[in-house]
Amino acid sequence: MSDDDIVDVLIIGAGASGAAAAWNLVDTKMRIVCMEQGGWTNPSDYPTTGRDWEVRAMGAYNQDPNVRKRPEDYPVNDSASPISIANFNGVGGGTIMYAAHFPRFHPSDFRVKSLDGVADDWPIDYETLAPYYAQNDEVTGVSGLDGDPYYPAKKVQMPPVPLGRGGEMLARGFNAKGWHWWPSDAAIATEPYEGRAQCANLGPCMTGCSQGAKASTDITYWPMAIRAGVELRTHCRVREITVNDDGFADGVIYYDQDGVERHQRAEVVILASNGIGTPRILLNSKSKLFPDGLANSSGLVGKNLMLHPYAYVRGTFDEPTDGHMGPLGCCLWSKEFYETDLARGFVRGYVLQSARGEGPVMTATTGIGGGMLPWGQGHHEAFRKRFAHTMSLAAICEDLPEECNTVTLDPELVDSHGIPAPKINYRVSENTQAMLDHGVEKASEVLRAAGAHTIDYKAPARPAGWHLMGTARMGTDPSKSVVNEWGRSHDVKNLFVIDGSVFVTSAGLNPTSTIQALALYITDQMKQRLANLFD
Amino acid sequence: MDQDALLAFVDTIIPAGGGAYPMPSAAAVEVFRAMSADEYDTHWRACLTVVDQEAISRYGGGLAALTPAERTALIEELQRAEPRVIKALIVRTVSLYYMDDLVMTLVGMEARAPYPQGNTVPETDWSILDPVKQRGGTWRKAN
Repeated sequence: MSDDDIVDVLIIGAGASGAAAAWNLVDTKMRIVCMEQGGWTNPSDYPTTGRDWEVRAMGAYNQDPNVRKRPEDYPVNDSASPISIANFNGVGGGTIMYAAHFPRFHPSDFRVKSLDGVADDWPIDYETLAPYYAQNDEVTGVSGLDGDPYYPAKKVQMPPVPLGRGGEMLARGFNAKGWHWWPSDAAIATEPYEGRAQCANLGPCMTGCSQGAKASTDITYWPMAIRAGVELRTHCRVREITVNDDGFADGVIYYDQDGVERHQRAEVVILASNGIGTPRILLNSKSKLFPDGLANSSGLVGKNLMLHPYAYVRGTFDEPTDGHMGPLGCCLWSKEFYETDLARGFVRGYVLQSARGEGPVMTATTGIGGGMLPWGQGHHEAFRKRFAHTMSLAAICEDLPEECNTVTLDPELVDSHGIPAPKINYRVSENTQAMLDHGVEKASEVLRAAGAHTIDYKAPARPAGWHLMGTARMGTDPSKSVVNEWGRSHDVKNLFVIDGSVFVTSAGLNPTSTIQALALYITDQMKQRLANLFD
Repeated sequence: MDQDALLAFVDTIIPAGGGAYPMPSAAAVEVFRAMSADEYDTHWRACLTVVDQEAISRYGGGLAALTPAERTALIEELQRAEPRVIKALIVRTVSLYYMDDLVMTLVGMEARAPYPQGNTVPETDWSILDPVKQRGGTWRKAN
């Protein structure tokens, strides 16, 4: 096995957090290398450039790595989970395929133990992350509307994504109920921003944005980081982190783009592979010093997996909506049921996030598959009443940490390099199921108030494992957490984790903004402590 | 298994519409009419063969020889017995059907990819948000 020259900082993963970290560390003048198991995507290859855009979303651009099955996608055994895992392996990571709904956590989300007596408080608070949220928003370019009474004051960069006909129908429904709603915070350019074109309302943001309006990190952070000297090595898959006799990480074993096994030495290793990939690498990094996997003296690596179960509720209207036109997941959202009210039968809460409609192929396939549309006689009438006549609401439920929800190494399943695949054991708790049921009820109420004549739903929706959190949690007590309050492993003092793994609790909303704010915060902490980083 | 079986199957899944919905049968759209057996992928052909062979074993003739009612009954039964086979065929059928130029036009779309032209979404009059602003409220304090 060949030994590469030593680098100062090695980042594993070029997605949401890895990109932000690389960019934030460039002013240290250190030699920084990032390894990414996938490659660059080309927006001209994204499905929306072709007539078969909906079909490709079911295959080559499916959110599920077990369906995509590209060589750079590792399989995930999620047969013991009611929710399947979604990810993307390539420069930009999950931001290539995310909906770009870009809310921040709320101050209360960092204090669930103190406020509601469940789970644990974070060792940091909203005020700690606030400047990093703002910095990340500036780089990302966030559209939205200032003044949401349910948020501390914050600044957006661009006007909100238009509601469209369907969104306005939903807004009227919320108004009729007297419930909170607000236009989405979206990582989508609604006007030209930092070289990015403005949104053209292509529709399916979740198969990559051909327009370049969506802020995936391959077009935001990475060009700046690379220009400043960061080396990004694509098609390099890390198998394990190696350690020296003193218990420090000294590099990684990886497979290069030709499949050759190599050893990259490094002074500092940063894990940025998110809530499944990070514990997978840590658990696969066994040694004499760390027989249970690296950084795992607490036994918590891979435990407390949180997924945000979704209740997906769709209304069908007589009045036409805009169908698939407009950003699918960015329109409006409601925090009416976000904070704890024990009278509802559960603790914590959820947001209601709207989703626009589907294109004709998806309308037909999901409609027939779900029993809402017939094939044969009657198909055309039923199709026309459904196509471009739907809007949906998703209740994104706060998933509380439970040690029984785990990522482990599958004893048999391996990726294309023979590295053990992650195995997911996950169940929906009683509290979360009560929240899902409540979400279905309330989403149905507002959809009917908006004029929907038919409601269908799934709770939990299976293909909704987008948010992967909690499997290397942050904390001050080494027996109850994997990394400290600034992201450094308790056990290995030159190993950092900066992705969704470090989440202590999950909030009830999309996590990418918080993942990136954490990456900026942790790398800032590193910069401030360079003289005694390993003490 | 030949093209007649293919056309019989897709016509059963998406027959011609009438009245207020004058849509063509899937068997009449170009993609299916022009498709030769060589163009079926392996899985598609295998699934269709299952249906055609079942028709032969039950009725003594292939799917194309059955009446529309017999085809419907057979596929409904197979949908229960071989759900994955029928699901694969239906997904493929409706996917190709709703990508056809004429069909897209008839359902109100332009027959093109979303990019680069994009789509127009009406701008929003944000006075619709006034009731929320008037109601007020605040975020939950954490301290």
